[in-house]
Amino acid sequence: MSQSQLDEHRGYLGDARRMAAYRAALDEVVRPGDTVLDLGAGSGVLGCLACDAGARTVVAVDRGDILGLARQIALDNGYGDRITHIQALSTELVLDAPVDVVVCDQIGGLVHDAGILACFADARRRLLAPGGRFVPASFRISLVPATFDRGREAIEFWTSRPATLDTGAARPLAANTEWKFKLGADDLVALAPAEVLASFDADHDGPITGSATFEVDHPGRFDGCIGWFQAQMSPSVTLTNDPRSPDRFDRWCNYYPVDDATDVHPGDRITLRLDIRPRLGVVSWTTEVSDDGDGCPRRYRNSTFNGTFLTLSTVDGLDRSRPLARTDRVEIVQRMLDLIDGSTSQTALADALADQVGGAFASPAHVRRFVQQVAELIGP
Amino acid sequence: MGRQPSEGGLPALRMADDVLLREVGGEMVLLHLGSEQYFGLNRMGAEIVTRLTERPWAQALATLEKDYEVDPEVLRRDVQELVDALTASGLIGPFHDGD
Repeated sequence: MSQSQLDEHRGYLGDARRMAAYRAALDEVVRPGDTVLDLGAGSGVLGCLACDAGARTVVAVDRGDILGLARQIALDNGYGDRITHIQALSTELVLDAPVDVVVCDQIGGLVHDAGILACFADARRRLLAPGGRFVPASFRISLVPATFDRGREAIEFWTSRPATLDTGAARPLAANTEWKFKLGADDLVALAPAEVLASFDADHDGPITGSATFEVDHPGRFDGCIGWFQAQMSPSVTLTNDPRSPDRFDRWCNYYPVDDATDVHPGDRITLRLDIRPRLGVVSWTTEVSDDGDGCPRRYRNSTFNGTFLTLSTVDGLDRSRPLARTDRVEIVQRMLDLIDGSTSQTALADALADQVGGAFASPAHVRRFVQQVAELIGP
Repeated sequence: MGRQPSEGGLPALRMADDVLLREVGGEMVLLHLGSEQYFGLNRMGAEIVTRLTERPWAQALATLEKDYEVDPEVLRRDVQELVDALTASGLIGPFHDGD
């Protein structure tokens, strides 16, 4: 495992509020004898908590090698006979019988940004018994317009001529990025009371949209909006990353900048429209700042669609209506598929392919990598 | 004959509110948030859309005819075909003349 993986999971396990919330929620939701599915299990700790709560069996699923650690932790803590570990994408998982409870912590900073919605929606369709329960069960997201120095600096850096270079080309990308920052109450100055923009169930399968108009009650520089969630973990347990809350757990918040910082005064209004498309991975936000007078509102339209550096080849992949060209690469894939006979190893396949079309690759190592990529795509 | 705006000083086309667009290497990528579909326009298509969103209909056609030295009838037909396709995909918003 890498340091970043170990640090990531140390962060989860060392967060007392997170662990307490999941333990309390599972204690409330899991009934004796239930089967629980732990999606994106990681180190498998939530599955262990489900056992403590009375689950008869737990299925812990993760696509990563960390599942080996989860298996060992379960054994070392006496849960080895109750937890089954399956290394797979949850959306490719097939179970013999539906489960009673599904638990997951892929919530990110504003719910949509770590995968829980798609996982839960899929689980509802295929894996969860009628009347089954999710932990967390539902969410609401809130945003607040703010003065946020770190967020503003993240954008203005690109026009500061670092190393005396003109890097201004990155500024529009930065202004169209959904940023993630760990925040405390002192890290931002709220310019108006926060508003809830959307509430939805944890298996919500579709766009998340909402709008709010904030009445500015604090003069200052408007840099953008900060967002967080409150999760309804179970009927009586909540969990939040609200930076103003003394009970917040250790999770970043999301920051949605406006292109240019703008001064606002009490009585001004800031209207935010947020459009989240989890299936596309695109978030768009429109911000309008209007004052008490007759001045024209200032409008900003931002989207993560504009925050990526697209190339023509990327574009070709996006437009599903374009016919796929029968390129040389297609021919090479076809040749590799023709060489697969059920008894030939990847190494032998790479050698055979190199004999046929080696000239199309930069080196034998490139052929081997290509064969490995196709092998991973088609699965064992 | 598909939709056309009346003549006037305002641009001929407006992209629908739920459409995002990017210029990439002279081509154009459009994302229709409503249908969650991507659309691509080649260089010529991108040029036509750009001019129609900046100028009234007649002016846009006139500049295209001049810059690309194309037969006016062929141009009008091709542009109308593109506009009809964009309309059918929900990529074009209401015209400014109150349609």
